[in-house]
Amino acid sequence: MAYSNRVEVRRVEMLEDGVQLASVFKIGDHTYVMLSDTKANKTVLSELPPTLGEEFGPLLKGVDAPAGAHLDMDPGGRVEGYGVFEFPYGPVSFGVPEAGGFKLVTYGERVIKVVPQVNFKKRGVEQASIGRSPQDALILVERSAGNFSASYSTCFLTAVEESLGLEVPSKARWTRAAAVELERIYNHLHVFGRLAEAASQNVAAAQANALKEDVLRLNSKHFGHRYLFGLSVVGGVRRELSKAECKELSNASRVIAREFSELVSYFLSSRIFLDRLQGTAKLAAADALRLGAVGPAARGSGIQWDDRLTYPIEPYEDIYVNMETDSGEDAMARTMVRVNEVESSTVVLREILDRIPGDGARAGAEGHRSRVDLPDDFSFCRVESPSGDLVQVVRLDNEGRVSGLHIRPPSLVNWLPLAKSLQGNVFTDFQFAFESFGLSFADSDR
Amino acid sequence: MIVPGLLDALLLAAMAAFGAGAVLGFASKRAAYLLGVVGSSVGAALSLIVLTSGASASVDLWQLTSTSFAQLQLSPFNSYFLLVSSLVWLGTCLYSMRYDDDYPASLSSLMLLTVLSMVVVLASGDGFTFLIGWESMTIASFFMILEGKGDREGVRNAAYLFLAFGEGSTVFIMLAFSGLFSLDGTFNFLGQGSAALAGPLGSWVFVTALIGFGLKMGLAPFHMSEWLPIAHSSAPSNASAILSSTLTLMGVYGLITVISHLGAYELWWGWLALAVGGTSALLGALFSAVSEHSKGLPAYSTIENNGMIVVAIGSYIVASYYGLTLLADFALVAALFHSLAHSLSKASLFLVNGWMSKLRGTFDLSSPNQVPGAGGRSVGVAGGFTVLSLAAVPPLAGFVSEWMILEVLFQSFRFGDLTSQIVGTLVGAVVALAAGVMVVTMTKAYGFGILRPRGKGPAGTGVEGGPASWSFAYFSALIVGTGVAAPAVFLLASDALSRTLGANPFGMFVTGLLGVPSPFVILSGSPFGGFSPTFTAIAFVLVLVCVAFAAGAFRTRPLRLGVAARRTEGWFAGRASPDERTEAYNSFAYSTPIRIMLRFLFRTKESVVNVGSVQRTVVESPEEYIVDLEVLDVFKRFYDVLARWSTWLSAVVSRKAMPGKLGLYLIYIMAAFIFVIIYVLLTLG
Repeated sequence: MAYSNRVEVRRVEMLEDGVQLASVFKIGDHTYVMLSDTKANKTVLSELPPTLGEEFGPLLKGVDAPAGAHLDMDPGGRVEGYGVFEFPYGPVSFGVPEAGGFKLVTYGERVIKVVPQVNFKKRGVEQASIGRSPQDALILVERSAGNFSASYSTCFLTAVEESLGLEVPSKARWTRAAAVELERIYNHLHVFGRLAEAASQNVAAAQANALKEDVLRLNSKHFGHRYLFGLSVVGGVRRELSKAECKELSNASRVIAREFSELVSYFLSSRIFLDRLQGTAKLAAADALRLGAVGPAARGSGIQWDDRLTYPIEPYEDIYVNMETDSGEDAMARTMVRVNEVESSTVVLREILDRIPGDGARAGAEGHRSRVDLPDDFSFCRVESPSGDLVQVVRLDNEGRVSGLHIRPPSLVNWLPLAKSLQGNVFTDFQFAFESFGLSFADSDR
Repeated sequence: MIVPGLLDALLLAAMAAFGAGAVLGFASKRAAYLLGVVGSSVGAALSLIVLTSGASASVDLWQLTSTSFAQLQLSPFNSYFLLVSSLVWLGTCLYSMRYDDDYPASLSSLMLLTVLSMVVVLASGDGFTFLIGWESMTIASFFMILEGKGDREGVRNAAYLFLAFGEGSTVFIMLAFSGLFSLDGTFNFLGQGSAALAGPLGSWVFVTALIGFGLKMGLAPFHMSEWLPIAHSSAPSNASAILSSTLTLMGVYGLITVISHLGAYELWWGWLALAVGGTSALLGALFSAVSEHSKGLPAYSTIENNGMIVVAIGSYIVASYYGLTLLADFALVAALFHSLAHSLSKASLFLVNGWMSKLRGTFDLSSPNQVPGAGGRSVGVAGGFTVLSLAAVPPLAGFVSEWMILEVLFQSFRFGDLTSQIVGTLVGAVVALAAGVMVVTMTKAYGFGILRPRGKGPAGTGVEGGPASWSFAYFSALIVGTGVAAPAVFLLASDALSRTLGANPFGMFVTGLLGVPSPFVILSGSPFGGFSPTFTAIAFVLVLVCVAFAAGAFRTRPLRLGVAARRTEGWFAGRASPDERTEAYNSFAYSTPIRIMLRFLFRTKESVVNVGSVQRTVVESPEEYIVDLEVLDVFKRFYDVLARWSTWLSAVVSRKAMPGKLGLYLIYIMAAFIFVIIYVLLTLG
């Protein structure tokens, strides 16, 4: 495959400069570690070196944690001092939109340490997929995080299809990419709306939600489901976009982007809104790298990583993608990354729709296998979901059933960066920090 | 009819009881406090008779100069303050019979000595007797504070701080008296009927009196050295109650007395009083809100309340200046009634907090409150009414008086010129803010200091049945009673009180309105605002009955009314019940938002220090945090500098002028003697 030069298999003893831990997973008897080399723009695979084993705890724990018990994403360190106590927030409290919690260590008002508590929504997607056919497993996987379903299914299917050696028609892959971009756009609009709501900018929130609804309706009209469920199948897509449909979708997306940029111009002139975001929840670039931040959270701290450019699956190698970064390191920077990505995703989407090939929507017979030589018999894929790098590792048994599945959701690795960024902020900044990361408990709990 | 000489006899009897108690204290504390109860009861009865009948007591002690007598006088005006004080002393003495088991016997003696001195202050008809009472009150209080528990060094410092400010106050009061003396050349200016003082001399008297009595009341900017909170909170709790509610009351009494002898008020006196009072109220409230000391909190609240009283006095002066007699008189009633409301509630709060701190073994409000609550119902009830009154919740006494003060300031539009109107409006906003902050403070005082977890308390912690329990019940009744029956309090002394102050009868502010029968509505001067505490209380009780009905309180045997209430477990955001050890919200956290928002005022410094080497790892390395949050007093630095200078100066003086040579001292004494002789010859000649 063309992107095999993006992957490197070698033994890593310790983290070098500019190298970020992406995931840790077990396949068979081996534990592997996946790293993102942000300097060489490469994905590095290595067996888990014994020298680094301990520090990967949270990522490993996330997989093994049993359902029904919550899991503390503890950044470590004990807080002592007069009046210090732990403020339990969530899982069913005002302000936390899903079943997820936080332990805020504070002496009142000031947040000194945050321990995100996840796993309240654990459904065990990975375990439940084992023994199922990829097509059955797909139904579970794409429901793991409903608002990232296109990214999830694309990621899963790309890995599965590689394992099976399926020659998937380009049109199917391009269609999936169009869906992923639409997903990115509506998620970014959603995050923007949540931020506006947190700042009591109710008109802006309503406008953003209306635009999001427009995108959802486009999804429904052209892909058959508002949240893009069921679009992809193993070897292709169910829906084939006609030329006319492509044109319609392209034009509609341009209208939405234009309306959004108008909304943003108002946003940029609202001091109340800007004040809440500027300087809030700062995440230093070094921390973003060290703690494994991905997606807009990392790019808002100036980290140059976007799977569309650094691990480009078809069609992203053929398309111009502008990497949106911001060196502001605060909630404002993360918001601006998302704001700019709405614009650039529209450009990408329109290019995809413009140049979508006409070679059919479903794979024919089994094709030949061309892939990176991995030490075990597994395949993986990385997709830039709206909240960042999504990693899935799939292993199929001889009968073509899923025998191993590892999902490393973007939200999971962004909890510790969120916790870090909140240190030293006050309670009222919490909402802005949380929303600016765009995290989802359903996503991280899977 | 009153038997002639009865009032004099009662006054002397009350003083005798306190005096005997002070002597007996060394032998038996219980007997001393019992005598204190007797003395206070006599004092209360006496002042009630004086107030209702309008008669007055007068005992001449000895001749001072050809025109002045050392005398004790009890006019209706003094007796109002004596009544308030006696009510406080009565409850405190009752409480002390149970509370101070672990304090030395001298505490009871000193306390009664302080009380006796206060009686002298209140009943003195001349400046000399007043100052004798004032000084012995200060000195007895000083020794009383020395009995305080805890850090010895801290208590000693607190006592000396108290002494220093007490003596400073005396100096200024003497200066004020010197002005009054010049009026007609006698010392008997505290009685009735003295001529009015005006002009520059009047200003001199007003300013020195405001400083002198303001020092005792802990007003800004003198409170900023924290002397009052430190001193009042270091003393034993029963002593704190006496100090914080009645000692500062003496300041109010003195200030109003002096002002009543001034004529032709200057406008700027009123502005000064408004500014000082408003600042004190707001700063007192804010500092009270962030205090973590179970007795420091009420002590700061004392400053807030005294600030409000001074605001009322300032409004009285401004309104009088513009000839708004009705408004002026209403302001005066507000000041007097607030003194009553504050004294009762504050004494009660100190007693309740003292009891709770003794139970919990700490004065730190932030420490987890793990002492279960069984057997302490009367503490909880008294604490509840007390904080509600101090937080100005209708219809309790604290609300009525704060409502009155705010009503006065609302009417600042009646003031004669724009500047006064603006000053009045600004002070009104500040006072309202202070009152709002007090809600936060009192919620904190109750929630973290008094409220206790359910369960059975340790043995010996209950107060049921004992004198302490009676004392709590007594204060609860007084706080509710004076609030609900506030119009009765006004009517009680209406004519007598107003006659001594030369004002309209205070009963005229009580009337009927909008179907509420007379005299259940308090009217704020000419038609502006009205409030009926009595009918508010009735409405409140009706609402409570409805709530109780809805909650199924009447479903028990004899009544069988209402529907069954559904009972569920508490909801903890979907978690198991919180861990009291690590997850309990504490009082420090409760008030930290104020510390952070007003960090320019509190000089809040927050720092998080990471202890331990930082390791470069993938997830966050283990770090230790040490939270260090300092609240520094803004003005404290100023006083520190002042203290350093005076230390330096006295060192220089002692080195140069007092080197320890006997001859030099003899020359000083000779010079002083000659100076006095010449002075006496000149003045008498």
